[in-house]
Amino acid sequence: MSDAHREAILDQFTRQAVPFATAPSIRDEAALETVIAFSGCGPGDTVLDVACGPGILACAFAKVTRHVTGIDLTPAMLERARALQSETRLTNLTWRQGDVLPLPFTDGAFTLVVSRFAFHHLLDPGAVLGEMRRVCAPGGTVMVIDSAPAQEKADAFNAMEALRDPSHVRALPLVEHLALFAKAGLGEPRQTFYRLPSDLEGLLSRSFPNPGDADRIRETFQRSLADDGLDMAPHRVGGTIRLSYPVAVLAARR
Amino acid sequence: MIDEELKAILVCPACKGNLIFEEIRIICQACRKAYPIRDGIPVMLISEAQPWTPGA
Repeated sequence: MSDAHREAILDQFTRQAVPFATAPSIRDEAALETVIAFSGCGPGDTVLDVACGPGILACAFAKVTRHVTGIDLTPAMLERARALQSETRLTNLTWRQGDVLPLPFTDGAFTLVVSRFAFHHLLDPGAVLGEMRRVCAPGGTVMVIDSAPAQEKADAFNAMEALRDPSHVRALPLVEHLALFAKAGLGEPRQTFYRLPSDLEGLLSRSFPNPGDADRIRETFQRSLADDGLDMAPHRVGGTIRLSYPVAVLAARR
Repeated sequence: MIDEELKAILVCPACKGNLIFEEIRIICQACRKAYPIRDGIPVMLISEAQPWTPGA
C-alpha cells in the first residue's frame, strides 16, 4: 500500500468509525444472514475477516463458528469491533492491527477467509486475494463481498464513490471479480447478489467528502434519477432520494 | 481457539518468520523487529515496528 493511500484510509476510517459501526445498512441483519448462510460455515471453522472494520461480520461469524480473527489497519475501527464483541458477549474473537498485504499469518491458517466491503479500497485487490488464498487451508473457503456495479456503469459509479469517499479506489464489476479469482488460482466462485439499501442524505451524513463535493454528489444523483447511470437505483420517496448498492457475494473453494 | 494456536498462526509481516510473544511487544528474531501490543491488540505493521537486538 502506498503511504498516501494508507493515510487516506486511516483518515476516512477513523472519522467513519462511529457512524459506520452504527449505520443500519451496514448492520443489515438480513444481509448478514445471507452472507453467513452462503458461506456454508459450521462450528468447526476458523475464520479470518480481512479488513474487518467495526467487526460486524466478524461477530456474526463468531456466533456460528469456532473462532474468528479480525484484522484491520485502523485502530478506531478495532476499538468499535471490541466494543461490539463485549456487547455481544462473544469470547471466540481475536483482533489484530495490520495491513492486508501481506497478511501476517501462516499458510493455511484458517478454514474460511472472508472480506466484506473492502476490495474497493484496495490498490491491488488481486494480490490481496492471493494472500487470502495463501492463508486459507486446502478445502477451505475464500469469500469476497463487495459492491459490483454493472460493467457499463462502473466508471460513473466509481467516480461518484471516489467523490463521496476519497479513500475509494474502484468497485469491480462482476467480470473483473471473477478474473481476480481465476488469477489467484481459485476456481470460479459461487455467486449470489443483493442490494444494500441506503438514502442519499443518510449516506452523506456518514461520509467525509472533500469540501464542496457533497453538492456535486447530490447533483449527480439528481441526474441519475432519469437513467440510473450509477447502478444505484435512485428514486424519490417524499423529499429524499432512496438508493441501493449492487453487492456481489462470491465464495470459492480453496 | 486457544491462545497457543492463535500465537502459532501469527507471523512477521516482513519476513513471515516465527514470533516470540512478550508482555507488551512481539519479537521477530529473524529480521530483528519488535511489534508493539497496544490496548491488548498486536500491531503487525512494519512501519510501527522498532528495531530489536538480541538481549535488548
